[in-house]
Amino acid sequence: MAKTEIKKVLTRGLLQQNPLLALLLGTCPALAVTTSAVNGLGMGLASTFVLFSANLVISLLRKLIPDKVRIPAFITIIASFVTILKFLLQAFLPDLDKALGIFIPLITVNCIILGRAEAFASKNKPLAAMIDGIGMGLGFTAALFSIGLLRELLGNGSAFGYKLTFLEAIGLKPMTLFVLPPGGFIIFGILIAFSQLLMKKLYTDEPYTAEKAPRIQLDKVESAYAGQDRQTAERKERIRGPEAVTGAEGQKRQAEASEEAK
Amino acid sequence: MAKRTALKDRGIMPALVLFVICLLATTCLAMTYELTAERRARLEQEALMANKQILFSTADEFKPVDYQALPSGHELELFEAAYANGELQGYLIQASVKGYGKLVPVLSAFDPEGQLLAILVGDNDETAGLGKRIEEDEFRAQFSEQSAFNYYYAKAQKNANPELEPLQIDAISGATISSEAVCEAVNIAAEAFRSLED
Repeated sequence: MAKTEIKKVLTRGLLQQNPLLALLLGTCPALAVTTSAVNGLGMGLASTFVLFSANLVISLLRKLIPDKVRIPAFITIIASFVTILKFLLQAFLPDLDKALGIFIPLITVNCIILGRAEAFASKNKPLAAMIDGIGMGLGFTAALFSIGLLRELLGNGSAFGYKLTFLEAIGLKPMTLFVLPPGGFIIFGILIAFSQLLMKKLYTDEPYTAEKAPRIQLDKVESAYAGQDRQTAERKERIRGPEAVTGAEGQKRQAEASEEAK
Repeated sequence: MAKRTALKDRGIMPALVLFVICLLATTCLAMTYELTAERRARLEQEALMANKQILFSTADEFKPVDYQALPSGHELELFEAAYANGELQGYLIQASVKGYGKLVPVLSAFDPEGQLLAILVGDNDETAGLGKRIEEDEFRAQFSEQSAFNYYYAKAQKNANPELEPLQIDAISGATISSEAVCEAVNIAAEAFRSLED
């Protein structure tokens, strides 16, 4: 794998395709555990562990998992890693385990992990999958940590558990709103706006949109929906005849037909 | 023309592959469980010890107490006496009752005269934001400085014992089952304490 491509896969998870701020995945645990910087960081690292491990295993087994049962297979693999993580946390980091509570088992249904498994890990080589896992995980962790730190500072007047008394001295009283869900949403929205601004400054003069996401040519990454589109078109053709196939597939078939006619 | 489906997609193979994946996953899980079991058990013991110290801060020794089987048939997880400098401070009794999720363990502290000093709610699976609030100080405070001769209940008064005085506890709104579970656990602990007297 080319060095530039490794760098691209690794860094796109940080800003352009940040799972939380750009792709808006994993919002539920994000808002619930970011009441403090340490919790946000802990949750991010826990999710990164699962993301990395699940991506690696799914990529290694990608040629063996039948298409029909791929979602159950992915979920089983992800859930196993989450349970292993839970045992390890209970044994070695019980305080973090208690702080994150039920949100550790909920990593299983975090959309980021299933989303990356389906869209990337199941279609790429293990090395690419591992790096994607790390990149996305770090991006998620950075976002969670930022939200957590801001909410802790504004809502509790503390950072990393240590009360910052000088803030009160200069007249900045903590606002409880920010450790509650509405405040979390506000900080979340502001951070999304800020990351969009950052991307605009760093990458292009136009606002970032999904179409402008960098295209990565790693083993010819197939669109997640290409297979479904083809199957739907074939089914339509079988049941209602070739005229029923419309849209992109329809145009493709018309193009093929006119080629043959020539 | 679709090519011949791959072996892994044909017939019974998908189910078989899924079965093998589940088997491997279970093996890994069992291994991790065994490897961490000892350490987790030790941490649980330390947490329990910390809880005991919270309820009896001056105590330096905890000794198990022999007790008869309770007339109601309930089981106790813990029945110990707390001593400070050899002097009896009180009793610690832990009973678990099924709440909304699995069992809710409640550790009750009694002084030798029969006053219920305080309770602590242990590791439970109650709903976050609702049932979990039984762990909060506000709910638990209702049990502080009460008596071992009360029958505690939240909604349904099911006392059969005429010697007991019914005492209604404010349930957490939206979490009646969790609140009742705590009341029931305290009733069992009180019954155990009373069995000592006799």
